[in-house]
Amino acid sequence: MTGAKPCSLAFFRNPFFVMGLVLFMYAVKAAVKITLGSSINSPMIEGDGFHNLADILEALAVMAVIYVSKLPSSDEYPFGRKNIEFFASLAIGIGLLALSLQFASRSIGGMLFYFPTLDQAVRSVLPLPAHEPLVMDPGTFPVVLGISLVSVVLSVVVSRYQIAVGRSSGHASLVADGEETASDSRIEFVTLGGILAEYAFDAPYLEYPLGLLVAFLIARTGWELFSRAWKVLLQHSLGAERETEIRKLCLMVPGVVDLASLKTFQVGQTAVVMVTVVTRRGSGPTAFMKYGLEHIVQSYLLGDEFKECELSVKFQKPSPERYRVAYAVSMGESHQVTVAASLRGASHLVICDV
Amino acid sequence: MQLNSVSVYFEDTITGEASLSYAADLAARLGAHLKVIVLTDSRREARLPGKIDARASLCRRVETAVALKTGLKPLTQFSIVCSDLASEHCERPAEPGGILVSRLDPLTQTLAHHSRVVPVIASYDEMSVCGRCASGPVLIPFGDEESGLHGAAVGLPLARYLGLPVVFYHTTWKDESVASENAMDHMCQAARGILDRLVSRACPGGVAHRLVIETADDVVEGMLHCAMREQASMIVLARGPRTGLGSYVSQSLAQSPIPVVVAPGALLPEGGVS
Repeated sequence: MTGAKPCSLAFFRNPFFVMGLVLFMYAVKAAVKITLGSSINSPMIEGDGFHNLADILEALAVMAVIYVSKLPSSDEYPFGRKNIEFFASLAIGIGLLALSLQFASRSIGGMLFYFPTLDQAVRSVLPLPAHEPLVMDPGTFPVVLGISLVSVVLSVVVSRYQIAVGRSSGHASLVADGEETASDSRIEFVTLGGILAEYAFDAPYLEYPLGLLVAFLIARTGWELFSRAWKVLLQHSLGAERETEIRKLCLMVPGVVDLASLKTFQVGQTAVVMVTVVTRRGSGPTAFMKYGLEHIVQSYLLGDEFKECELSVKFQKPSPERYRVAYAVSMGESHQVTVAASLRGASHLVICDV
Repeated sequence: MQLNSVSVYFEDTITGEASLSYAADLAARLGAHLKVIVLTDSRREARLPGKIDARASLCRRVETAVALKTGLKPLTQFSIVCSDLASEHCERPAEPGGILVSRLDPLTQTLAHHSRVVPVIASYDEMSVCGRCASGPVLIPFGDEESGLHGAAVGLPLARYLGLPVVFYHTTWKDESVASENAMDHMCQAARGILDRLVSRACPGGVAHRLVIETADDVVEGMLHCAMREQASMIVLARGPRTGLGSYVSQSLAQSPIPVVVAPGALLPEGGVS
């Protein structure tokens, strides 16, 4: 009995279980929203349902990516295939940026609807989408409100769950998909706000400034996912701040005279650090210096962002430190040269390159 | 234990400069007098004309070099001591109450093996005592013999003077009859007795201390791994009464990146060492 508990908990942290739950949620949402939207003639709700259908395809793609990323490393793929997750992050980031643009233009269109002159002037310059006011009667209001509310709550809960499991298991694509689900919840929240504003105050326009704010938040999330994936895929360094700290930590290890080079990058959730250490010590101490370097660098890097750390250490001797030295010598009668006892007693100065 | 002087061999090289810097820093931290030992050879000097001048001139040159490199004042803060390679005195360049800093591993081993009078620090390339990590502890390994106590006799006062904490390290073989995963449960009675005595000596001096007890595969490897993890400032060891060359001390001196202090141990038994 005691052994069963951790096993069942591990099941709930399985990325495939999480994605299965996400698939189920999107399937239910899509079916309900498309059915309701078409029955009350609401293109907004129906459109949201089709968006959920697209989310199902995205979730299937994320599951495939997670499967590939879990394949073990081999001679051909020494770091495994974890970077594939960042292709998914990159795609989701681009998708969120496009979604934010679309949502922002819809919100601007909604706001301009109440200022016809300005609306006409702006539309002559910018190709904004046509404004579609919410179509709803008092009979369908409770159903629409209930479905929107449940949809928001589901999206919030599932997105948090996805992000938490993605972070703990080190799957960037799961985190990215969770962020996407969280963005969905924000959009749904704005829709819900619009429905309530129309019903309570007969003021559906309140939805649009809120929509603009949400569009900004989605764009920010999209940019974060995109830029991080971009950096990882192009093997950007771990950043100047981290490299300065790693350099400082390496110099704290006894025997290290200097660092000849330091290169860092990220593969999946693995931080890779390649360092060339200058030391005068021989092979015996360098084995322990390597241990010390690994310990100190891993203690610094391992945490939320990196699940593993690979440190490659090379040792090299310092370059010869050349200098000159002068010897005072005295030459005897038989041309025998000896080091003079003092400068006063010297007959010659011999200058040597050492 | 009084540590009233710190001695170091003068060597006009970059690595010799590191030893001198380490010794000067140690002397300053301990409030001790720095003695710079100049190796001379009376047999060679005898062949030189004006031999008295030669030695005096050498000492003056070294004195100037030390003053320039350390910023210390001659006579008041440091002094030059000649050690004649041709005399037996060479093997005992430092007097009781002093501590010797030596960069050269073989020399350190020779000194530690032949001299049971002064603690010897192999400082390697370190320029100062706490230059890498300001609060790096003093690691004092111990086993089931009194060598751990001899190490502590030097390590504990050093830690107290330097204001550093102490880590008592012990690695034990796994007792197959004991089911516990806790390494402490596998310790033999003799080692437990040594541990009690070590703790009782650390407490009155007010030295902050803690224990690291594990079941490492190899004693020296386990000890050095622990020292690296703890970012120890130094490791203090003493030779056991039954071993000489090839001992844990010799292995540590050869492999440690961290300065190793070889404390005077027990007198060698009749018939030499194993």
